[in-house]
Amino acid sequence: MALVYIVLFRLHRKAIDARRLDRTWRFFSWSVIAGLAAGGLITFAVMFVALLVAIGLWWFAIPFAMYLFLPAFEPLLARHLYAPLGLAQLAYWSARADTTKDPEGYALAVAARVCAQRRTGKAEAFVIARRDKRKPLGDAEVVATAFLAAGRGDADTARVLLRSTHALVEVHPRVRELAGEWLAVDAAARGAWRELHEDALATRWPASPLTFFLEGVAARKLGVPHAPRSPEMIARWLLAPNRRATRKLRALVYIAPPLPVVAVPVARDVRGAAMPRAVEAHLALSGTPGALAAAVGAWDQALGDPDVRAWLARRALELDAPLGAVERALRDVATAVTDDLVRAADAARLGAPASRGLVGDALAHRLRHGRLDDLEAAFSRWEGRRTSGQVLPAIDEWREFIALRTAYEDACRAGGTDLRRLAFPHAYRCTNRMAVWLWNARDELPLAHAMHRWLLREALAVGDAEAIDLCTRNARLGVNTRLGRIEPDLTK
Amino acid sequence: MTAERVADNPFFVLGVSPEASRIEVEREAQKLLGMLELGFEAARAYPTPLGDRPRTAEAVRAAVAALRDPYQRLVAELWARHAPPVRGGAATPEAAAGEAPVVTRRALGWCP
Amino acid sequence: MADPNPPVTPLYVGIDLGTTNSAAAVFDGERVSVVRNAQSATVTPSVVRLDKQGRITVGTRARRFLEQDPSNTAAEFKRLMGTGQGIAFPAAGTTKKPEELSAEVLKALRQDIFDQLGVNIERAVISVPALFELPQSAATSEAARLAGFARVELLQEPIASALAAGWRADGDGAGSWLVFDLGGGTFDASLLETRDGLLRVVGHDGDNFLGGRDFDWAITEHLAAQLSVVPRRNEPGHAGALRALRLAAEDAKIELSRNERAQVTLANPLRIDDQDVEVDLELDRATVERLCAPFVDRALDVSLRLLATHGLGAGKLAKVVLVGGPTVMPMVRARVAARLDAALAEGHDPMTLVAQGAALYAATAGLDGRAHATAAPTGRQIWLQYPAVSSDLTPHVVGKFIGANPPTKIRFARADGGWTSGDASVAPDGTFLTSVTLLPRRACTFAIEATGADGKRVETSPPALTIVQGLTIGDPPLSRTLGVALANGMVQTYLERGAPLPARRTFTHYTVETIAKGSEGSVLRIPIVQGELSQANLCRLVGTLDIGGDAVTDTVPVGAAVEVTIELDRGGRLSARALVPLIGQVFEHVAHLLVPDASPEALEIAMRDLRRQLAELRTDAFRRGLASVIEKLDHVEGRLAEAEKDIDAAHGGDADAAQRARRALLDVDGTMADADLSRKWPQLEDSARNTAISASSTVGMHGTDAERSLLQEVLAAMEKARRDKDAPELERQMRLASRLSTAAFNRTSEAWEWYFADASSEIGKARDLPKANALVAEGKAAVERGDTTELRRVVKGLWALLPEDSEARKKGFDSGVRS
Ligand SMILES: Nc1ncnc2c1ncn2[C@@H]1O[C@H](COP(=O)(O)OP(=O)(O)OP(=O)(O)O)[C@@H](O)[C@H]1O
Ligand SMILES: [Mg+2]
Repeated sequence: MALVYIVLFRLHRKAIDARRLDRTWRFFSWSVIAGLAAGGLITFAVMFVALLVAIGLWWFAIPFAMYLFLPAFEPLLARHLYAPLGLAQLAYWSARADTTKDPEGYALAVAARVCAQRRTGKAEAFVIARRDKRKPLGDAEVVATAFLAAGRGDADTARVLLRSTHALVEVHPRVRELAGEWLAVDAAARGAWRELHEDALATRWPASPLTFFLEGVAARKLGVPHAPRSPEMIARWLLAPNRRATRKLRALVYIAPPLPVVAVPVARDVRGAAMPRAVEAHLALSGTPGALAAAVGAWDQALGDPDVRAWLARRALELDAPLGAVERALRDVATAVTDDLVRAADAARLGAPASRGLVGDALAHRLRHGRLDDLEAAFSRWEGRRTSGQVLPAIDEWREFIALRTAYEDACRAGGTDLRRLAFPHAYRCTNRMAVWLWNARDELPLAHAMHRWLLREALAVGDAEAIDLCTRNARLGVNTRLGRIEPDLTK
Repeated sequence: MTAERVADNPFFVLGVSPEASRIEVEREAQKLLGMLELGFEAARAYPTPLGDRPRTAEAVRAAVAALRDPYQRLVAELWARHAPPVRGGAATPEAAAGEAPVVTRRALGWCP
Repeated sequence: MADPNPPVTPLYVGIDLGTTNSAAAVFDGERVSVVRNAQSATVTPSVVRLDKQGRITVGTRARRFLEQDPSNTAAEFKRLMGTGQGIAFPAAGTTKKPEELSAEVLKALRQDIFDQLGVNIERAVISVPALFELPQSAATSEAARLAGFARVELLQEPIASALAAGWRADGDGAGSWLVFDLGGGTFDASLLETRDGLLRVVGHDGDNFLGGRDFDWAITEHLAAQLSVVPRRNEPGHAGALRALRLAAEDAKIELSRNERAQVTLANPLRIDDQDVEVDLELDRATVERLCAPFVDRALDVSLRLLATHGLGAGKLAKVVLVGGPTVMPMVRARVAARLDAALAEGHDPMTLVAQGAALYAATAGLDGRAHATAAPTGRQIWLQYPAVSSDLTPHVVGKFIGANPPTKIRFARADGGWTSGDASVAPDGTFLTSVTLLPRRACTFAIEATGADGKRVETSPPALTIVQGLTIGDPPLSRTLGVALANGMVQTYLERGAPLPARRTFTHYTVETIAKGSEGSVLRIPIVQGELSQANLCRLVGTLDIGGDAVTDTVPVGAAVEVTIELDRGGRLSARALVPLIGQVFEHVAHLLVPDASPEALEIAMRDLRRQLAELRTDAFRRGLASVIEKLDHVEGRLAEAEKDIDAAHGGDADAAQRARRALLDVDGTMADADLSRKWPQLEDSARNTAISASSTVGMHGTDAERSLLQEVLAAMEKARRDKDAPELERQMRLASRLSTAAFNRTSEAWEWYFADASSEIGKARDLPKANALVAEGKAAVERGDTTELRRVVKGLWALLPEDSEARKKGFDSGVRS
């Protein structure tokens, strides 16, 4: 009897695990197998409970029923019962009964997931307390923190944190599945189909049925070749939960033509005097490289225009402005305009367009030095905290690293390899010290490893031989996690 | 910031032309401050090339102080004279943000 | 703007709260008059005495005690405003804050006004020096509150002087004016301009530590040198004798403004080092003039500098207005007229001009001094808005009838019968807008005539309004630029100098470090600074807004937006607010800082430091032959010598001298940083050349191909940066070049031996000496074996034990935000 149960149970678990790694037709096969196994489990459990009741041991039947049902139905319960009702503790303990490796990690994520849907102060405190007990920090803790942020309505933080788990070697498949699902739902809600599709192609996260369905929708919406066809979409839809909510999406898939390619608006060619054109280009400033280039060019022309200068000189005389007012005005306007352009370029993470003149030169200089200075200051500060003895919780160190990494990458994208080469040495020095400290003094091996990996990638990109050497050695070290020791594979 | 550079121009805030004399500027500012203090509806907003903007007493004070200084006035004129024509009405709405979401996080059980 | 219901004759009050003397004046719309005190003098010495019974005496009677009972009589406390330093009164056994003493002076003036006019004043304009910083202004407002004023506005002294001098000036004499205000302890030079009846401040300059008291000390030292025993300023035991001598010197100086000779005789002999020293000396005008001339010249240098920054040479001024006690001296008047080559404005009382101007300004600001009479209105009530003083001859009058069914028409009739407005129609909501015509330089009263829908006259409350035509000035301008120090040591300007008050400005910043929830140690600091320079360390910290880990509801990560709003009210009170949208929290508590204390010991350390830096800079500049730098440094030398004297005096217990020394050292620091910068470029170029040469050879010998081609790119970039004189870029590229050459060098086996030798030589500084010694032993063995890998391990281990060069980040006041 027990043997049958165990076989069925194992089968169910294997099917689900296998399904996660897949995004082909086999996803369905595994689903069917899992479904059958689950059916068997139910039948078995019902029979066994009925038997117990029949022989008068009904008081014994209740815990037994719990014990038998739970493993198979825990995800269902979490989604449909605990989360809507905000029962974080219950969700935690029932997930804890799971038999995978490190069930606590999974339980933490499930409890946090409850908070993401229905947030109560008590539940949050519970999750935070559980999270802070665990050391070192791994993906489950990061995901839990992300879900807490999501519960507070801070989707941006949640997104950044969830995405950051990609850099961590410790992989709890079930935790990652939850993360993937949140990201998929978030992308769908934002209409960011391209992002979702790219995640699917790279299989960054294990797929849940809902993720699988949404990824199908994304592929269809984008009209990519080999997008799933309608029957498959129906199958995916049937597999996924929340069918009522997704019905609209499924309907959309039938009629939605592939999205037309949206042309990037090109800056208008405004004719006329230099100054009005510059003001107009300034007002039309948007986050596109074209608009930025147009504004810079227009300003360089306007501020170098003899007519503008002559007009200023005449008005300065009429207004009785102090000596040197014309030069000062041109300079001040250039500074003010550059301020605006720097802000626009920073917001859209653009590089400086090639234009020579008061504004063009200043913009190039400011973007380059501003970004480098900011990066240096930020990395130094992070690292300076270590020497000043101010120890933050590991999750906050991680968040800081993620923010710095994003800033670094944004700056490099806008400034090209040249800037990357200048920014690297300092970022390397600080991050390396932090990573070594996290590794040696704080035993946060997964975090430190992720940092070493990132440094290695950057060192390779800028060709810094010494750094490549050191980072390779650091990144090759085995990482002890709660899931066992992981020997990193640097070829990946 | 970019839009403010033009919309906060003292000439627009005071609703006077860049040719206005010093006395005209003072008179207009004093009138507007009085109207704002007594809650005149007409003084609450001013038209700019980017549509209507709310007018505050602080903005009026800052505008008149700027126009008193010949140098600052010169710079303000440089912008105001070369800006597109002012127009009333609501400010331009931000570019419509993509398509409306077809599904929400809440519906999928991922949102409070 | 005027009040809705002004009493029929308004009374505007201005107070000059001076370091040495205070004065009050009132303006009734037509005439300005100076208030006389009980001794029927126009000025009241700013001296407060507290006797054994705790009784307070203010003014001339208190001043008499300065000599007899100096420890219980306080003077010159204005200079300590905003420092939080208490002034002890041993007889009464209490300590008073400077603002409390100022409040006593204000109370005395308030009483004088009551005695003379029978009016209890609740609102007034108080003048403050042009270069007062926010904590000092705040202390002045506090003093007024303590003195029972319900509302005050602060006005900068030079603006007050100019307003008073320009008020009755003939015609619209358009042009530039200089107000030369040499007071007891501060000198202010202000360049103003009047045009179309409007007064505008073009620029300020000044020296917070230059005034009559410098004259007094110079004379005192001259007198002291003639005594049989010479008292010294750095000797606390000589302070009493010096004080007595100084008072005598001051009296003699004042006497010499009228006479050619004066006698300095003290009734009681001085006690110096247990000897009685008789004082009976003679002083003539020429001597005093010789002693004081350097100070006047310094003031004139400042004035000329101010003119030059605004593109004016000497001789381009329409008029110079002299203000302050020392300008009564004939020598001062002559010197100013000669060096500035301008006419002196005649017929003004230099001692009370500031108070008169403040009173005139009270009218412009509509700040009627009288307490409000809340008599029941006897007609249809109107809220009126109009300028109480207008330079415009046809100002607008805006109004609103209260209640439903307002009258339909309204008109204004001037009291002299010379003019009546047309009927202005009243909108259904009771509002109307019209304009009136004024008579030049007169106070005009207009009767308000409203007509109802039925055509009948409607009585209004108020029944009339008064507008004065004359010189006006806008809102009080901010005297120093206010901003937020950023993490990179720069300042984000919020409010520019000259911005009209009240003012408010918001900027978005981004955090540069995490504020961890619940962690007390993690604090995000937003430093608020005041000053005209863009480097934060050269500005003055006036307040900080802290967001602590214990206050946030959740961790605020790096890069989170913080919207900071800074607000200043008309009295110069600062408030700031930071909104963190991420967690939806607002933080408002600003720690207001005081002017920092200056202990003589700390000053001496700073002085020694600066001296050393100066010597270094100087040798270096000499070696390179940088003439402009040497010139700057000579100036610094002079300032340091003066500061040294002040530190001496500070040892003798002179708190004011200590403040002055502190300021001088701060200035010197700024100048030296400047000199350092102009010296740096040639040096930087030199080291860039060296770096290029050494990197080329090392990389050429030991580098990989990739490194060699990279170095070529870096060298090209260095050359470009050098051509563009772009110092930061050059430094960055240099670092890159050195990195490349280090990497190449590290491939050689000598490299690690060399590092090892270097690290072992500094072993004394290691954190864990036994461990370091063990490592050194291992290293020696490795060198012998020629085991580079092992040696490398040892060296790295040693490095970890040695202290790192901590990058000092103090320059930005530890700011936690960036732009
Ligand atoms: N007739 C005079 N001749 C020369 N000096 C005088 C005369 N009368 C006053 N003083 C000097 O003027 C100084 C005081 O000037 P004043 O009253 O203008 O200063 P204050 O307004 O109190 O100071 P501050 O403006 O710095 O706050 C004192 O040093 C005093 O000795
Ligand atoms: Mg004075």
